[in-house]
Amino acid sequence: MTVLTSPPRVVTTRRFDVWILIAAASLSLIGVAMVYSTTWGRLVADGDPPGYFAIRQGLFLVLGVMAAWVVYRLDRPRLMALAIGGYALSLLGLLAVLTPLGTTINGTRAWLTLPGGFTLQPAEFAKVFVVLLAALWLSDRAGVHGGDDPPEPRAVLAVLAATGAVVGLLMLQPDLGSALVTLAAVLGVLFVAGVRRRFLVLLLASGVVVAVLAYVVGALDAYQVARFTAFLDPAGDPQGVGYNVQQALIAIGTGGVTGQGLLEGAHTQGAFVPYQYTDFIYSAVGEELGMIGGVLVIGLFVLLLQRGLLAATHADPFGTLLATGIVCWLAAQGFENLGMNVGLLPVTGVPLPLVSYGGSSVIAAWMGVGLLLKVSRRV
Amino acid sequence: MTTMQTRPGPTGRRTAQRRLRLLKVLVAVIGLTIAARLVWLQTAQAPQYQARAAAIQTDIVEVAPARGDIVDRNGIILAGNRTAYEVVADTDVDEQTLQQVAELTGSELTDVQARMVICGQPGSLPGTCYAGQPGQPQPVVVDVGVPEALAVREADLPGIDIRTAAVREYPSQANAAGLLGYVSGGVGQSGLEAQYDQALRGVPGQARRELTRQGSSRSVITQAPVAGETLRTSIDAQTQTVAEQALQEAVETARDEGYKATGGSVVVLEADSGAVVAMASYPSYDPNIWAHGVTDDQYAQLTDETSGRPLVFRPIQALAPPASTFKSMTTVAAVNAGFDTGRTYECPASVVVGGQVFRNYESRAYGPVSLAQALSVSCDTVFYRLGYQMWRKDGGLAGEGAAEQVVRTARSFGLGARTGVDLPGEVAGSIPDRTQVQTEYDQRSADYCLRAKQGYPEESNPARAKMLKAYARDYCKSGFEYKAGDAMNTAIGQGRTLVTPLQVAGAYAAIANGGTLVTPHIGSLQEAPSRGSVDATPAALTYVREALADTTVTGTASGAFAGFPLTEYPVAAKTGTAEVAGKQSTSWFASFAPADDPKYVVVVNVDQGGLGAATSGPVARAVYEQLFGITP
Repeated sequence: MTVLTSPPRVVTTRRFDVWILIAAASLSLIGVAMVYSTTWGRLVADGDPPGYFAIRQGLFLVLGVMAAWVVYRLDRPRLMALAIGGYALSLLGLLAVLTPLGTTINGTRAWLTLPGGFTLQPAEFAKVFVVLLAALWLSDRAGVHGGDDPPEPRAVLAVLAATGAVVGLLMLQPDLGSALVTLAAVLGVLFVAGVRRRFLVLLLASGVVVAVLAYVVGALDAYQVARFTAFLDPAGDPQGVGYNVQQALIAIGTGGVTGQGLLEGAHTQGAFVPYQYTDFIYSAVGEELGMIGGVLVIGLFVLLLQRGLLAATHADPFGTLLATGIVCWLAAQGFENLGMNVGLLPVTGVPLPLVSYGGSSVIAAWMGVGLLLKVSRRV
Repeated sequence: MTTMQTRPGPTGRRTAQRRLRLLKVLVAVIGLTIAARLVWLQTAQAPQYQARAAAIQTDIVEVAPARGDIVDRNGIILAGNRTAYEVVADTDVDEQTLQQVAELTGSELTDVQARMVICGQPGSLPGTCYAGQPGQPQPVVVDVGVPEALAVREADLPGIDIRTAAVREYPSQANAAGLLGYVSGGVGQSGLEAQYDQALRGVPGQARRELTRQGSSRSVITQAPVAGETLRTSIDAQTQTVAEQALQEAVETARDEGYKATGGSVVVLEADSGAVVAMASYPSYDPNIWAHGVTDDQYAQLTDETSGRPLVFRPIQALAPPASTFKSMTTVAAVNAGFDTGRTYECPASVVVGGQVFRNYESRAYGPVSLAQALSVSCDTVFYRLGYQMWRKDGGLAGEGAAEQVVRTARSFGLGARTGVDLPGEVAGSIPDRTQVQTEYDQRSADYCLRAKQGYPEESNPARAKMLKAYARDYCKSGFEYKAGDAMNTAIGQGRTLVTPLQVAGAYAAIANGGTLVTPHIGSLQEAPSRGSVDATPAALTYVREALADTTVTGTASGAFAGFPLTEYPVAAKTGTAEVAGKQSTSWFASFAPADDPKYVVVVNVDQGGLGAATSGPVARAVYEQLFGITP
């Protein structure tokens, strides 16, 4: 009898979806190799060990896998505690970067300096915790009512408030890219949570109005506007932002089908592409590993996202929303990064999840992977 | 989906499933779009991007070959290369960085900045401004010492680098600036550097330079440069040095005696081959000034009249009447014209022709003398008369189809024409004959005839204006005539005859070697093809040689050669003192030795330097002492 009244939790298996792990680990290892390829030359020229950045990236990967293991093991109450604590710490961090504690890199005040030459980017972690909170709050009601109705307006408002605080602080840095990614992730959660279509349309429309207003009032920095105009006309400013895109396209274009080979890409080894070990690492993939490597990276990425969505499909309401949020976050960020590398989208300065160099980015992405693996256990 | 079918959930779940399917499709579509774009970039667009990448990443640069050395006959380097360090700056380096460069190298900021200016732009200074390829790093401090170069390198200033450059250096004691010439922009511009530029320059190689965005680069030599050939010359560095020093001393001595001594030449030839052993020009200059570009001031110095125009290489570029050195040719011409060497000729103090008095200049009256004696004591009146008699024989003023023995013979000795020496910029000079006088008149008469009528109203000195007008009237009336005076002046090497010291040396080499007009040459030890034979019988040449041998014993040069071992090394010589209107006389000394078996020809001249024997004689003597290893 218990079988009939039991919720679907009964069909739980202990095994996670191994494809998610394979895709994430492959992307991470390709990332370490590409970080080495894009940094060793400059390090040697400066008299530093050639593996400095690659070893650090490897260390970030280990920390990320450990973080993934931790979140994988947490039960729902502990996840709630982690979400609230992490969200609060993220807000504190996002406030701190705006104080003199923060460091400005390339016009964005997004980093906190840690001892040992490490920096922390609170925005990367904020995305995980916002998604976690949204999934928890919106599934709470759905769980009670069996997901029959759209989520309660109170929960939606709470989610919007929590998101708005993060996005607002991100815009103050200003970090347009992370703000958009955060919005996209939350939007994805609201969408799958069953929020009415007209509400979503209203939300999107108000977002567009805010963006236009920000542009008109001049709240955006000149460089952000320049990035957009450079996207529209990459050849217009070959020495400025357009330069970055042009060099990335040249690097990718010279890769051909089979690529120049790891450490062999002349454009990459000549360091013509700025930020080629962070935001533009995909240009190095394109040049050195060619179409085969480039399509492989896209394929692994899409595999990770699709298996995440598959997990979402078969999960309980909380798992569904959590996996959706993480997939939407990774998809928005990853596709934006890949899109700007191949000249399809404007430059907004977001890293390619798991692949680009950066401790906060790698660890946060692996936390996301850990949560996806956790959700995938319920098949 | 199976769970959905077997156990239909609430509507909310169905909405979620539907929306998740939509997300799956969206992810797939975006992924495919990006992949399609990637495939397009890497297949259809690949050639375009590969070409652009190549243009950015690589850069073909020329690799300069080492310029060939110029060495003397013993292999002593006259012009070689040394490595100089220079500080180069990117075009966009700021003033603060340049200030640091100036401090590190101990130079002035203004000098450093002046080198940043591209030639032709406002404020650019010739010799200092940047004349290279635009956009390339520009040298801002040239020829810095090794400590300074190291200091700059250690400072590691942005946009600043140290580069090496090959710079011409002149390690021998000889100066030879005009002879060697100079190099600018990697191309020989004058002297031997220009004449043998092709061989000296070598063949540039090519390097493919792979650039990085940081500006650093590594070069791969794709085609090695071929170093320039070594140019072996016939010059003897020691003789060259002695000639230069002796010439300078002679100039200084002449100046002590009140002469202006504005410039001088020494030419030393091998009598049989025409190989140039030494060729000195005074004033000279320090050839090192060309190393990093010559400034306006320096160039003015090099070409200024008051500094003696050191850039003029006088042995081949300074024209003067040959004066009495010409009498050797007049003697041969007289023999050619049938005058008897067995009889005597009157040497009075003066001769009067057509009411004009022609006086002896260098010598006194000797009474009846042989032609040989007339030559060695340089009796003008004997040669005036010979000239006059030959002019009469040619038909005087009429002179239709005249033999013009003097002009013709002198020309056969190479006078008044380029010798063909392997140096650029040689001038010809001239020995006017009847035809040329006529041609010249046809060109100038209109001007002079106009002046004959209108005079010289612009001339402030009335006496001078009157004299000029009288000359114009005479020239207008009879300037086409080849007068007796013209012939007589030509016979003693005066008048409108103009030659270079090298031409005189060539003529005396022909006398010395028995009649071959050699082609003077420097660039190799092989004989250059001669210019043919002079118009003289062997007997006539022997006669002249013997006569000239007396000059140093009993003639005009006996003073200058007093105490010289003439029995062991007999020196045949002819002195000359050319008169130039409005200037002090030009001192000439043409000689060869040993007189009985000539090996060397030495010709010296000093402009406005006084008497031939007194000023130029000692220079020739010093050269012979060096050539024959005589310790004075």
